[in-house]
Amino acid sequence: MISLFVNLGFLVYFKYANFFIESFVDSFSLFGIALEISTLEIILPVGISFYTFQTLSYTIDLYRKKIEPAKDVISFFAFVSFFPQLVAGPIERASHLLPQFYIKHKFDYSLVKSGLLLMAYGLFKKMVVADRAAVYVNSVYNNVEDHNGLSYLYATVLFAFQIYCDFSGYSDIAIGASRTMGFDLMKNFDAPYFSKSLTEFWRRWHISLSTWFRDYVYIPLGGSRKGKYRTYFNLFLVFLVSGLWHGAAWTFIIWGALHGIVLVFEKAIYKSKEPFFKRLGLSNENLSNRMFFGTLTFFIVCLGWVFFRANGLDDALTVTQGIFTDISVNEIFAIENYTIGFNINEFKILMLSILLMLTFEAYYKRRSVINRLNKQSVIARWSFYLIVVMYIAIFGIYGETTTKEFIYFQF
Amino acid sequence: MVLKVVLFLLLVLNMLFYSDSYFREDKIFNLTKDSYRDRQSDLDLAIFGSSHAYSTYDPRIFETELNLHSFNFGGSAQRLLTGLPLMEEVVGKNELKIAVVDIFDMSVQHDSLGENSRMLQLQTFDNTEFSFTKVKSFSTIFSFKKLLDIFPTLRNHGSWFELVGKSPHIPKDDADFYKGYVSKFESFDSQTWERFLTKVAKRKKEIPKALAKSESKIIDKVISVFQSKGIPLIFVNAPSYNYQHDKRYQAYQHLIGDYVVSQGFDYIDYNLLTDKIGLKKADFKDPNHLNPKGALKVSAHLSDFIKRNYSIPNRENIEFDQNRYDLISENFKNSTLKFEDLGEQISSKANINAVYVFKTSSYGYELVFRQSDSDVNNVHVKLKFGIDDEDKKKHLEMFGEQSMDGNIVKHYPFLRRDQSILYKGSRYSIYQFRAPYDNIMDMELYVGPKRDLKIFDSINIKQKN
Repeated sequence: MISLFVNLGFLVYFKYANFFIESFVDSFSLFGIALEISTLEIILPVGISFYTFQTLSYTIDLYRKKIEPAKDVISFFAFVSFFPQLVAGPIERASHLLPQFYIKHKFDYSLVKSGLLLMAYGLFKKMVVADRAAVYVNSVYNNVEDHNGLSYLYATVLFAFQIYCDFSGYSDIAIGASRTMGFDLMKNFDAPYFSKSLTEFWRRWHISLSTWFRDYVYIPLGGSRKGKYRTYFNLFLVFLVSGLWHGAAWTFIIWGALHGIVLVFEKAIYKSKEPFFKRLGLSNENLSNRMFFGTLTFFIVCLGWVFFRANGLDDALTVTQGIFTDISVNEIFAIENYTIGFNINEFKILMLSILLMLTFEAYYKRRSVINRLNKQSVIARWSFYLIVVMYIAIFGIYGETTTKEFIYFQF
Repeated sequence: MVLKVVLFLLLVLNMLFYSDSYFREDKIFNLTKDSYRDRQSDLDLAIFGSSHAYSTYDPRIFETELNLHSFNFGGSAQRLLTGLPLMEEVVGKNELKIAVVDIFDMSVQHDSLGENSRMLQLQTFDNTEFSFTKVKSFSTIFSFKKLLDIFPTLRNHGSWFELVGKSPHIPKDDADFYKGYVSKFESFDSQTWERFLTKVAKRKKEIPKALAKSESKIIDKVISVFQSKGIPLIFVNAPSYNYQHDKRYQAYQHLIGDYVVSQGFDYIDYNLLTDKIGLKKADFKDPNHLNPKGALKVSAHLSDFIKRNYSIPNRENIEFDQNRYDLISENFKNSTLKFEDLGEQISSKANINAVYVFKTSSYGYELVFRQSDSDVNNVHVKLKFGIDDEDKKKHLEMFGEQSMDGNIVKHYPFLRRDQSILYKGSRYSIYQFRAPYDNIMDMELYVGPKRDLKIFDSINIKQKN
């Protein structure tokens, strides 16, 4: 209990204290009472949400007798502060990561090679796609009033790729760096934008957080064992908390709530969906069906990203309204909508890079690219590695004036 | 396994070296180095230094007077520390018979350079082959943590679209470029001089009493590059019009001169020889740099000095067919076009006795007008030629201004008498025009106050680029 209170206490103090103070003052002001409570000047420790959850999982698993206590204090602190994943995950479980500190790791060439390749892929996603997309996204979202519906739509879709490439790029670098040292970290992303439902999306997006909430919030609340309505409530609550975990702001709470509502809806219609499809002669694996539900899911996810990215509730509503009511066909051919923040060639490189990434991930789902690569001749393999290195070196966004932190460092 | 890793890293480095040439920014030194690459491994005389060097020492004169393959490696604001890896590269690839290093206060100072000065060093670094000395010089000027910026690919990757596929650096029509030598046939006016004096007045005033340790050390390093190969080395200082007005500059030059002489090397400060070689204001392009007319005087003196003091074996049977001074010496035997019988009218109204046209090494042609040494004043010139459609598509934007009839027309305002050169007893005015075209058709040249005196028309030239 002490551990839970201390861990959650730090998290609440650093991350939510000011939000609660502001909300408290705002609530009173609704009744005409002006409270004069100043907010605290707090510097948020980097990655606090990640290592707090990791430590909590240790405490809870220990309490549930799922794991043995750490054998020594050095291993425990190494588990909590393991540098590759310290600031943005994956949120590891003690049962998986802690035992790896007890064994001696030897240099393994194949692990180093595959780790470096994964790091290169992560750098490609972060430096080439995410940071390039950020130029467009920031130009639109930081000056919402200066743009039109189509640019809102493009910026939102690009943000979907930006946040995916930023976050999964970090995870790939963390997993790859750990692998070079002989450590195995859990998979955090599994091509989420190929999902055909939001339920599937959450099985593929930020897997370490989703499973954490499943194991330590959803199941303790009763999961799906206490009836239909309680299940819906539990599901909704988990996503509301997930939104709050991302940040102390109403936009994050709305983002979480939106996902919660759609997930509850999917769960509610899941049983009736199958017979309905069968009656229409449609199969879940039918290509057009997959494409339709894949696109619908991506659209819903993008709608959520509007609230996640917007600088405030007003901006989020302006963008949402613009996407639904302010798009004309003529604008599709106007080059101005493709050159916001950068020139058309940068836009082309961005599109090409996203296409390469999606092709790679679609392919990767079916078979291991690394295994396939290993079967090629040394000339083919080395040419591939060189092209990857040079592509990142030339088309990456980096340098003193353009250094960008990972988005999830703030959570 | 270790071998594999090393091999792969070497491959990556090689890829970077390869791509670096595409990521260089468009600077004059690119042209200098590209021009050198075509000729490397047979140089006899090399000149190093800053813009003072590239505007003062004309390889054409050393070629003509000494019969030596010569090249000027001067780069804008180039410090000796920046030039050091370049000197090593040139010494390593050529069997130099003599080297000339232009030296003054700025060139020996490399600590705490301002942002502009540091950026100017990049054009030399970007055009110097990778070496340990280059890494050391670069990290001294830019700090070790910026070492990756040594690769233009990594430094300029953000401008990939503008840089990759850009055209080679082309000197402007009025630039006199030859094997690293760069200047213009122009002189400065009194307003420029006033502005310059105001700028100089703001500079540091304290008179140095001795060279700093880093300053003498860099001179020692330069010496050792040439000494290790037994290459004779001369230190020189290009003349500056403001020398007499700048006590600090004078003091520095005395210290530098004393130091290099104490090390056993010849040192010529051309600021002290202005009267002897007849340098006047009209010989300066600006207060710090000579124009080709002044460069001819200094280069002639230096080549004479080398001839008298160093026994350097001449090369035999070298053809310098793009060298105007060699052409003059050879009576324009190898020029592309020659017009010597121009008639009384042109001679009296335009003071032109002969016109020669020959192809230069820098994307074009040179027109040489031989004039009598009488008091005839400025002359207008009009040059007109046509190029085929293929060349128009490829080059026109870069090289020409198209007239209404689709031809290229160049109007030169004056053949200015005060900028003409005196060589081997005759007076010449020179104009270069860029024309990297395969076919030049219906070429016409007119001179005279109204540009109506025909020198030639309907001339066609075929060239291979």
